Amino acid sequence: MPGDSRRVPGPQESRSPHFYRKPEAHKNDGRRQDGRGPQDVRPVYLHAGVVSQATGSAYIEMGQTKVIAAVYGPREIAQREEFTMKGRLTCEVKFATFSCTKRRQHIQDSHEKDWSLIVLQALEPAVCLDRFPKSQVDVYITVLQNDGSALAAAITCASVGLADAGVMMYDVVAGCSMDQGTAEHGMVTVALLPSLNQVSALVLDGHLQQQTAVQAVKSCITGCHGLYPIIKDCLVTSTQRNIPTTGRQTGQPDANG
Amino acid sequence: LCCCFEESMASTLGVLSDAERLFIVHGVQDDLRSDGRACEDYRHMEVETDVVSNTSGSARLRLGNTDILVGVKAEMGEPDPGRPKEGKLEFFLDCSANASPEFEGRGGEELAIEVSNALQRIFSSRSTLDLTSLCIIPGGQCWVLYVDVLVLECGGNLFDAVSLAVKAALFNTRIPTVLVTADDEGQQEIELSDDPYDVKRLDVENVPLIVTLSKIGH
Repeated sequence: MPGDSRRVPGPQESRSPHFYRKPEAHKNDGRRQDGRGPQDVRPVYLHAGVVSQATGSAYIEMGQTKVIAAVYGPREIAQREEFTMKGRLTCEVKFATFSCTKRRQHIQDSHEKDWSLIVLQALEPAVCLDRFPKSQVDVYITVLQNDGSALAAAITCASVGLADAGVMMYDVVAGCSMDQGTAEHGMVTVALLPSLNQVSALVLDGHLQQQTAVQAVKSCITGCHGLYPIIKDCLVTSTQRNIPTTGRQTGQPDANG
Repeated sequence: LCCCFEESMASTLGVLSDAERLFIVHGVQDDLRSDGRACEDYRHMEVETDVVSNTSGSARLRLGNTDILVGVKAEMGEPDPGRPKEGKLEFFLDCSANASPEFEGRGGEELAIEVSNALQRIFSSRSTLDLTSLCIIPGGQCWVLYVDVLVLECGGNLFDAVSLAVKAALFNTRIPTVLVTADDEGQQEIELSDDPYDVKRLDVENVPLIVTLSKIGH
């Protein structure tokens, strides 16, 4: 409390002890810290239908990165604006305060707002917005643990959540990212609609040589295609899980359909 | 991305009829835009620096019907704990209501955030601007450059115009030379030079420029 003379205030600002750590020497044998080669993709675990209160949801683990997405809607738009034949998609990305090496604020900062816009741009082309006029679908993404590739994980997770919610889509969106850690440093993230083979988002952080950037984008597109069977598998499994068990067990069609 | 038909007849309504859309698509196929330019022609550009006297650097850019005013103010602040030998750049974009009727109230906020984020992302790479030249006392004080962009008129191609104007304003920025002395108690004292012309300029050689490309039709 400001101006309280009876108390001895603690430090107003706190710092992560990581700033005082000596920087780690990079291993130059072409392999990453966890032993993967430069083209190896992390193992992915995807599970749909994890948030019972949401219309649809998904949870993804890409190596040590954990992201959860919940989709609510279609529901009525809060502010009554001009009538439009297209529905609205909103997206909010938030890092849990404990998710990164440095503690994050609990209020959405500009980096998270930036990512919210990117994920929105990645998802919008895939959703059939004209199927829910005057309504909006809200996607809330929380990054529980950030070990890199969180944006790609968020995009994939959100699109599986949308599919799980039953929102009509032209295609799912797979996200993949790749970083070049040698002389120049940059990270490329690509969001792809696999069966339409169209890129809906492309982000490059840092700086790369032109050839390296083009190569990285191509590798990411290959990675996205590799993610597609996993997404399909996950959605099929979750749909099968939701089929009423009575019809399945007896092998006869249920009276109600 | 900005589309080239923004300034056409339909810009006030925001909706295009099928006939108008077809007209534009056919025009693009014949390498012709609705304002007469070829597909790869840039709009006419005018740049003027040192337009605002109270700033450390400023620039005004006119790109077709887009008018951008950038002011850079250099202030002293504390560096990031993770980057003690580097200065900082902070971007703020203001889409004023007189730039476009859509920016009335909070309408321009989303676009402003998008452009600010794009600028922040571009300048976060270490090769664009040498931030170590903005250091005064490592770990103690550094120059913080507040780059404020004011959109006076929005006639399309905002990203390109903003990046051009920011580059011009940073080129024009004059940072006063500081002298760091240790006084009697061993504390470091910062002294600003008396001569108003004793300034340091920034090397904006590698400051990137944004180019926007739109794909129309198949």
